[in-house]
Amino acid sequence: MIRLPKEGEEVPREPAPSVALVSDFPSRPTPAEERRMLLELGTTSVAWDPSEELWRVPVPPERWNAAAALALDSLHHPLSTLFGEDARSYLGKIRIHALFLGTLPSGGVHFVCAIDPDRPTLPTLSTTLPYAAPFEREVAEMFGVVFDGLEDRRPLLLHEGHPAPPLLKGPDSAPDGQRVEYPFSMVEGEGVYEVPVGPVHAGVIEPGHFRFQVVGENILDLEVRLGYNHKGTERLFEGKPSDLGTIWAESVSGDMSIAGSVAYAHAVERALELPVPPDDEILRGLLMETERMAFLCGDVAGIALDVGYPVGAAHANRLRESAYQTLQALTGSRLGRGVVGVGGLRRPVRVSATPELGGTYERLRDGIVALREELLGKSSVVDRLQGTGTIPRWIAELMHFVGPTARASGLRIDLRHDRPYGAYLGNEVRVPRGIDGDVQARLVVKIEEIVESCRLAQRFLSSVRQGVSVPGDVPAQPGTEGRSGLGWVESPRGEYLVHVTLGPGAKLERVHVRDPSFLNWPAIELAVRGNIVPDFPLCNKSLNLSYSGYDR
Amino acid sequence: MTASVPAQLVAFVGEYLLVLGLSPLLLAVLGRVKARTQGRVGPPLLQPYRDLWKLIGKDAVYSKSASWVTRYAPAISFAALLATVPLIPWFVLPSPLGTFGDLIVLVGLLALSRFITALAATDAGSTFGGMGSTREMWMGALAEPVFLLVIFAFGSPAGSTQAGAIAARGVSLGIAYASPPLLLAIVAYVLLLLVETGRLPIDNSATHLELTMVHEAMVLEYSGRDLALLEWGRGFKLAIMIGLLIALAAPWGISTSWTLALVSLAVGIVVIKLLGAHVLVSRLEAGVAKWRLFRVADLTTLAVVFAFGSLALTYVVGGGA
Repeated sequence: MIRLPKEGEEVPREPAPSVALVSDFPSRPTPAEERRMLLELGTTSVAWDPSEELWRVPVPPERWNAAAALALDSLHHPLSTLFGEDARSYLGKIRIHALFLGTLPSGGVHFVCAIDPDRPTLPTLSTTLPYAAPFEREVAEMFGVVFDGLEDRRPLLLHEGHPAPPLLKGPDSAPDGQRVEYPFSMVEGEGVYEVPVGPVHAGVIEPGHFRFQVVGENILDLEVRLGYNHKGTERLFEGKPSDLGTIWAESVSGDMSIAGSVAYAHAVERALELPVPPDDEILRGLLMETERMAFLCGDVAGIALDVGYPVGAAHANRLRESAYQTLQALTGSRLGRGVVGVGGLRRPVRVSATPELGGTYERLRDGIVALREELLGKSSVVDRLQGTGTIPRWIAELMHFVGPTARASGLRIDLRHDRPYGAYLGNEVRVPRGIDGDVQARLVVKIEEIVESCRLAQRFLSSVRQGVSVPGDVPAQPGTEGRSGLGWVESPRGEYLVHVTLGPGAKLERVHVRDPSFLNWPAIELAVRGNIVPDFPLCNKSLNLSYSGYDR
Repeated sequence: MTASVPAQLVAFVGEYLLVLGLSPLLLAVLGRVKARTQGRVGPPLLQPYRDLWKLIGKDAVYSKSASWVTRYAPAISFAALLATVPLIPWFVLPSPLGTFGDLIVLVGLLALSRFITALAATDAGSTFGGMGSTREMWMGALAEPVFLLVIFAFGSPAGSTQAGAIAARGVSLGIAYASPPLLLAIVAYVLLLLVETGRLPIDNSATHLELTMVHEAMVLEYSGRDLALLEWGRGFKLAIMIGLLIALAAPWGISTSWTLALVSLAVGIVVIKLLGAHVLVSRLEAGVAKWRLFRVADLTTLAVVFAFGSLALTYVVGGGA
């Protein structure tokens, strides 16, 4: 059994790599120092946004790299998301946003760079920050922006050519039917062969293409290509009334409907400065924790099934089902769809009408604890889990992995703890961590998180009062144009971000959704190196990445 | 006592009816016990028959890059398995055509079946077929020498590698047949059986993860009648391996006389033994996770140790030929 480090205990880690780690610098500059450093970027204004707890800083294109270096090296914030916005109609520019959110409690920077739509170029960040490349590839294909120095110029999500970049405003541009070239990296040498898998798989799962470079049964390299699920969700938001946006927000990753819609709702609420009744926030918290239980029980079941231990999987699935049935009883929807609304809840949550709610959570906790003993007490199970798909801490930190994946590698990052929101304000969340970063560590962290979720759910239950307001339409306020807001939620997969920009009449101008899987997908490529091919599904299941959330 | 030719013929056909007809049911029993341990109801007992019937009614689809190997492999593999039936005494001794070959022939026939299936899996050039067949041949290379050793362990006390002779000795000795060397040989055989028939912890027959499968990966390219033969053959092989275990380890109940009543009783006994053994295998599977691929070698090593122990005991304790 792996040992979870106790509170405040130093976590042993790999020999220091040549890159600077955020955790090497636990002390941050004071707010005054931060402001001074940001002003040195030559910007016109540096504003602290108290509701989003970050600096908003416009940056000229020539200072883009310097700004990123400042955020990373001096403020010690990792890049959380990078996205484009077509602001030609109101600013005559294309804007690129880069968000650096601290993994330490609060703090962060939001850089905005306005670039010329006729010559949209920007220096790349990917030379110093490897995980910036997918963000830049997406902005490049969706907005036609050219990143100077970006090595990987393959499209990220689009599989066919488009006459016009799809996220630029204008008439919908249908794909032209021409498949784009997508060369995969190859390993050459005697006995090396390639195993292509997918996008259609033998099981019923989402589509994705995996290209393995293999010697015997050993995986030398893996490259993943996604985008098969690209639905243009971000474009679907545009022009819709902001109170209806939850419909699309909850379908970005269907298994995280509640987390997705809460993140969206928070973003709009911050943009419009809408108050939310505290009871509604508590109920959102209750629903999010119940969703987390169902999701993580599903992960445990998947891991048990993939090690070929169907008895354990059956138990975990039973627990998962009880969580889903609880959601069904509370909201009338197994996935909690259509419940969260902007400004509160769309429908009442039937807390008092659901009998034995507290007992359900209690039984779920007892069940998962018993299952933990059973799984970790079985030598044939533990043998498959230990040392499989290891992600060392420094890699997790360097690549800014989030969620249970990062925590299993020893990072203590959890937005519920670091940037508390809604129900978690004033409710301390215990963040379990692993050490080894292998499948077993991820399994244990997930089980610990279910236990913690049960505790939080009980706590929310005890503090919620009855008689919950159901919001009407968001009033069409004047002067909503150009307002923006950020919503963040610790979803079952980790840091979930939604950024909303509003147009006139509280209509959605641009919505950017950063699913945690967007950051975590490279983890599978790194985790399977040196493992054997038959262990790939296990690594995959333990990371449980969202295809739909990545592709949107 | 030797029987008349018509009686021999009836018994011969009866053996085939028993094994061929019963093997889907045995698979269903296995699946059902497994489902029960997982809290599920499981498929009805006739489901494998329905599946086979459905598949037999369908045409086979072949890859454009497939050669004759793909077309004939299911038939060759199935025929090789069919040929092993008379080598095992099921319910009557001496069994009809039982002296036609010994257990070394049986190992050879199983190897032929394995070889042709693996060859066909690589034939169409699909990646999964290739992966499945390399794994299968690697396991075969580990399992076959051990299989021979286990047979010697069973055969040494009887001084024969013929299943009929070994079983006859068991029947005549009665309970005295159960000796320490026999117990060791049984353990070795059960370990080997898991490898040979692709049960957990070696191969998960329920998985549809294309990267972990062994047998499933090899039959991925097959459809219709060919798939029916291969699936039937899979259950058939399990019945053969378990049938052989019963004949070697617990031959009591096999009739040595050719009277109708005794033979019918023996048929009933062997059916019960087969059912019981399948239930035991599924219980064994339920309590264990699939092992990491390369640990198959551990299992066969263990089987070697037990088989050697059995052989050594036979010669030390005495009773060896």
